[in-house]
Amino acid sequence: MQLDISSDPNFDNAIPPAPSTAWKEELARIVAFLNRDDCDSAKLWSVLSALRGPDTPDPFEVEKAATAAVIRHTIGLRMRGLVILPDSERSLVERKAIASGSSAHFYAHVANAFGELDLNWRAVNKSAEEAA
Amino acid sequence: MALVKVYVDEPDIPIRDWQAELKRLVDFMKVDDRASSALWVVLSALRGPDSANGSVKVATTGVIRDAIGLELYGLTINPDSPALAKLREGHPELHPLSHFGQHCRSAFKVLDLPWEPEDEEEE
Repeated sequence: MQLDISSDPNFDNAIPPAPSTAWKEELARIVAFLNRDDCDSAKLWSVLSALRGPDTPDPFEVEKAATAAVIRHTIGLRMRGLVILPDSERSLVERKAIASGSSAHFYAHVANAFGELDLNWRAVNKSAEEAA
Repeated sequence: MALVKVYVDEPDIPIRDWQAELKRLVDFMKVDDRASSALWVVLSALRGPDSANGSVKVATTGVIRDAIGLELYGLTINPDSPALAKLREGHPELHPLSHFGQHCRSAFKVLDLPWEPEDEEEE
């Protein structure tokens, strides 16, 4: 039986749910890990700092698809609204162009993350499922 | 060792510490609710501007990193100031429609940081 809570006098939809602080706890944990300032925290930083797509104009999001989206996919990130894609031949072609044409800052970050994740910049990387 | 192995539940595969931390973070993000969205907003704003504009970085990324308590050596991390708030105000690189501007503004909002200079108290 489906309950119609809107007709329940005890249901007060004027009171919004309490805002979750879980994300702050999660953030604090990540920050504490990064603040260890050791080899492991540097590796994690390399990946986290490469999750955002390029700031430079990328109208068809081809740069993002070939870099940040592949990184996101590799680490298993799944969130609505984000570009998250497996690697592809098209992305490989784009990456070869990025190495010479993108901003040095963005390229340095995503190339570094590729290295930490054992992804090959100059090859199509297969996911664990594809490789199996 | 490929990171993807982290996601294979085989006890004989060693998991690097940072990979375990990343996996835990990703698992949290997969919930895809308001909490994970808020966390994404902050994480995606931690990298400085790709323009490598140092002033913009100090006025945005540096402030965000400081607000969350990041103390990683070598990174630009600094408290906010009226001068930095003034720099943020109207800076073309921080326009609400620019990619970097959008990310920074969202992070400031989620962290309850004032973007614009606060009004000076009248005497």
